[in-house]
Amino acid sequence: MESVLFWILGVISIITAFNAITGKNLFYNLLLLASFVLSIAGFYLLLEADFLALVQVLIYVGGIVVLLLFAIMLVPKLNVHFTSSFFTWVGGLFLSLLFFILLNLFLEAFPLALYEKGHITLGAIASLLFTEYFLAFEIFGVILLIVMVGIVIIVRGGEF
Amino acid sequence: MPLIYYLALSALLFSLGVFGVLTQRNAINVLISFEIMLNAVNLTLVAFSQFFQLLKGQIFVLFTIGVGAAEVAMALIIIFVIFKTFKTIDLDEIKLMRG
Amino acid sequence: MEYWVLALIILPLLSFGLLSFVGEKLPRRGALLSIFLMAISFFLSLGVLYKVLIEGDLSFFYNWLPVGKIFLKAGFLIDTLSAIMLVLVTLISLLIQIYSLGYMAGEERFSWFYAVLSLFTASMLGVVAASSYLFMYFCWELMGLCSYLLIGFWKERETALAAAKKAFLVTRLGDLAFLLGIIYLYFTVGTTEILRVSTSTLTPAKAGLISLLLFGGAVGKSAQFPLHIWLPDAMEGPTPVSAFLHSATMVAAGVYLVARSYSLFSLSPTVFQVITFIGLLTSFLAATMACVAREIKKILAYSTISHLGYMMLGLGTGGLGAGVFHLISHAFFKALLFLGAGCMIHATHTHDIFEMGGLFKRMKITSIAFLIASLSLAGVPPFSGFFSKDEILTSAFASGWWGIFIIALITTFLSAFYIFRLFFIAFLRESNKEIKEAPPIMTFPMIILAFLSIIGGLWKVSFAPFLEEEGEILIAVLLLSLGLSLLGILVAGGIYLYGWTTEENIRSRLTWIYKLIENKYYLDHFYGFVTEKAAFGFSCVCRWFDHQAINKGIDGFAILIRVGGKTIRPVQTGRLRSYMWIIFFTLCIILSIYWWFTLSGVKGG
Repeated sequence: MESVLFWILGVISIITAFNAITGKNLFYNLLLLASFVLSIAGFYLLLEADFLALVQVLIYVGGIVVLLLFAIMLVPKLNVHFTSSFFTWVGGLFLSLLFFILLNLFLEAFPLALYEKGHITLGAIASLLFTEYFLAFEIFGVILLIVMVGIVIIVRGGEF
Repeated sequence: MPLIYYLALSALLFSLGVFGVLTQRNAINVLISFEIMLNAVNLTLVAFSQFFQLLKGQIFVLFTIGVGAAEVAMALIIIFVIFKTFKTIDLDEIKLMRG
Repeated sequence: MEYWVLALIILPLLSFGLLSFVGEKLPRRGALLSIFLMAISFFLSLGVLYKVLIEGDLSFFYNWLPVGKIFLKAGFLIDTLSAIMLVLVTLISLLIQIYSLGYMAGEERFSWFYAVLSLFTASMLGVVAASSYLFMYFCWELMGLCSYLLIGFWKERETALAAAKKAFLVTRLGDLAFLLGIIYLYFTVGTTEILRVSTSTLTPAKAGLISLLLFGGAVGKSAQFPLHIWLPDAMEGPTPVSAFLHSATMVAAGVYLVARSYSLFSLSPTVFQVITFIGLLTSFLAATMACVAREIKKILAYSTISHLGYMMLGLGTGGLGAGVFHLISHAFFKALLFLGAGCMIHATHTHDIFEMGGLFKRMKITSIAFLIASLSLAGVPPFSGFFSKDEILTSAFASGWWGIFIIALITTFLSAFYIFRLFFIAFLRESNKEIKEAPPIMTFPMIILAFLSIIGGLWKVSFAPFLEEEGEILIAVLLLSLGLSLLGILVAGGIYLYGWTTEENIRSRLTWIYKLIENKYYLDHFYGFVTEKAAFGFSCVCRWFDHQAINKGIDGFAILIRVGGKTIRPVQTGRLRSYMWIIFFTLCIILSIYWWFTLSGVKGG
């Protein structure tokens, strides 16, 4: 059961990813991105990261993709496709292939699972977040704040 | 599923993202490819987290997703500003250097 | 006795030091001190000579220069030969210094003159007393320096400075050979001590090479052909300098060197042949040049060169005693001739003998002294010159080569001829000029020297036992030399006194010979040409090198940077995508390196 799901999700993710990149219409690319993200969320579910899957869908689909969609809806001029030259395609293909091969060299065969299951729960996440990784949590908040302020500034043309 | 399948898949997705970054001329397409890369890395992290039954990976991913969102917002703003300045978002045209 | 030797060398050095710093403040601007010290040196040298005659040779040395683990030594070797030379040098130095009180009076740099004279004396004494070639070379160079300083004493004269440079450079060539000889000697024998060298074992070839190189030094200093060109020009210096350095002492140093190295030289048969040949050639050529010169000092200079050639001839044909005897005899009469010339120049204010005249009536003492010296030079008995010249001719005859003997005889004839040509023209021609005799301070040394020229011949009787070779008197040679000398005087008298023919007449008949000789056989031109070409050629090479190699090198460096910059500039495109490519490509490289070293099983990552 699990492996079937894996394969289906895997195929979906690869196909959507590829089309999201090479599509001609920006709109469709964004929607394909959303699908991609959803498939990844599916993976997370498979990997016992339920909370994470939730967060992924919420933020990526509900936040990022929506944001981008709004952007291109409001500024239609952005929705333009430029074709790259043939050499660019070839070079890019070559480089990414090379990259892929190199990454594969570092793969080793891992057994199925190292430890017994059952340790990943939402409660555990929460407790970790507020004790061990509290600093990161707070800094994250600060980052968000900074981003918001920065956006406001830039939108207003750099003046207060 | 054996861990290595997830890793291989993630590597493939990452390479796809790289391919997109290297070839696309539209800035937003590049952004999309970048997001794909990000997600591939997240997948790796979660897969390892499940393998070792530790939560560190998931928390890391949590933060990654969040920061990624913020970063997209910033990127978008920058693209707008560039669009205002250069009247285009073709990455090949956007340069101040001559020669 | 060592202290005597040290003292008599150090005293002149002391004189030099004192005079050069505080000379002006001393009485008579330091000259009296210098003369006093030199007198002491002279008496010390007499004492040394006496002791050597009685007690035998003396040698001692000190550690001088540290070289690695061993010391180069500076030492003194006093045997009869050096002792006699010590006496000679100090005596002549003393006489010259007394003479200069009068001659150089009123000179601005009076003290410096005496200082350098003293320094020269010290270095010549060092050369003569040295026990090793290295120390001798050291003093030899010092002599050359003093000669340079003294020739160019009147700094304002361009010709004097040029002459000083010429002297220094030409003798330098000889000194180079000398130095090479010393170095080679050191490497083959292991020492430069004269005593040990002569008893060492050397193959004839090596000994010959070393000897010829050492002789090269003598060729330079003693103005032998072809390095004789500096001596005529050296007459630019003050007359006392000419009398001292360039007739009696410094130029005799080369002869002394040959005499000293006699046992070394005799290891190889060719060396003596070379010495003889060069000596003969020099004496003949110089004698011809003296016959046609007009300036009094130039005539005397050529005469000096000629007689130095004579000495070399004597030494080369085996007459060690003859050569040295003539050295001493020549020192006396040549110095006297120069001093007399100085008086004449002072009185008549000209250097050209044709402008002088009637000196005999008005400068009695000078004239008589000069006459004595001329007779000695010409080889007329009972003066010393006769005996010494006769010894050399005997030695030349004994060598068995007819050619040498005949040319030597011709040179004798020429010697008598030119010196009496000078005498007749300068002293006995009519003139109306107002001329005064020289002051006593200048005539006193001349009288002493005249006296020595007279009695010098009597030495021969007692001289012979102390030298290697005993001259065998052949009556025929004696009569021949005497006859030729008298013939020379006769011919000179005939032409210049009685008017058998005039010089202009001869000149017009033999113009080409005159031209040749007057231009010193174009040797100076030759040297000038060669050095000019060599210097110009070398400078062309240097200029080429500087332009091509160095300039291009530096320019090339700048060009390299500029071109390098131009080539690398396109990397910065300003486009995001190209940067991404570079980033990912580098990442691939890093990954592959990382993989290669950690996971691929290659050891030593």
